[in-house]
Amino acid sequence: MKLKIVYFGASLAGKSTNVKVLYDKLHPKGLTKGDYISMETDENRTLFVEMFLSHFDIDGQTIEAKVLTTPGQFRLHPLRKVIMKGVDGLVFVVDSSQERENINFLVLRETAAVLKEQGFDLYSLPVVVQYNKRDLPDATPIDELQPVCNPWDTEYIEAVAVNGEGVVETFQSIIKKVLIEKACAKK
Amino acid sequence: MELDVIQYEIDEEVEKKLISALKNFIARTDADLVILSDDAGRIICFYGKNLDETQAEFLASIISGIFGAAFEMAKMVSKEDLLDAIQYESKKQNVVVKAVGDRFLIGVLCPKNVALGTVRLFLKELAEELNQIFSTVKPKPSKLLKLSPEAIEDKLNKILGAT
Repeated sequence: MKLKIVYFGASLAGKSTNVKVLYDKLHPKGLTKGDYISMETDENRTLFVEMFLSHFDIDGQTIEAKVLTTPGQFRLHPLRKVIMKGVDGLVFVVDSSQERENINFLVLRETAAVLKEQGFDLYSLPVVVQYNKRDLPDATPIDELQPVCNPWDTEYIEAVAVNGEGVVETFQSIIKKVLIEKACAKK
Repeated sequence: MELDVIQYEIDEEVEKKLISALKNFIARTDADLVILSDDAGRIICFYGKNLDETQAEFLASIISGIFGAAFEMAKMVSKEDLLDAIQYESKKQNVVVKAVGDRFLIGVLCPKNVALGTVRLFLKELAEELNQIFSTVKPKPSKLLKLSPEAIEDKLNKILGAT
């Protein structure tokens, strides 16, 4: 089973950090295939995509998850549309700092519009919300972020991706959600 | 619901036909590599030199990405134009990407000494052949994970070890 998992969120929210740290954590366990692929600008900002392949067996079936980031900068909107095509599960990486609260919401709205254009409804796709940068002194309290950034009322994870906190938990959560919603035998 | 979340599944017989078509294309053009993927970058099959499955998977993502980006550009500059193919040149290779129907893409890498006209001619024929093969693809019987959500969570815990 091939899955396409996309990490989206505001510019500098920590999408690339999540995906790189996830690769670094899964690779020694033999849960990745091939290298970590990165297409970034000279300033180490994502230009197009960062991705790797994770694979593991579950119940005798091989799960192959292609994990990708979208570029966060506003001007790269057309490229975000391309990456979103055919997505199976989404991770919304939210920047917890107070000054980024509005940006998080704008990205959410823009992503919903992109998916709608492709015939998908953001609110019916498997999504996990990750509140990143929880170590910031000005981190917005979760109960203030929830109404704005988690309209699905879906599972959320608190993270400090740069230290590896919450990174694997987020990935595990989105894989679980996709499998349960899309491939699990309905009772 | 099918096990694979994409809407189609290629069985062995169809895959053989697809690979045979790709092989035939390589023999006629001397291209180094031909990759068939969907527009979301999922590889379907490939044929050619010096490429393992993982590299092919990444290439398929990039091919779908560059085609998708060019499609967005085409829409911006000419709203009525539908993009059919793109090509670009590097120092040693040419790359051509062509749409096959609405959902699939063929990416071709060929050395500079191969005439692009030849590649494009045979690529057109290949696209028609692949379209014909895809028109015969029928959904495979549904395969589901025979696990409860709790069992899936438990297994993922053991594999990924997040909690």
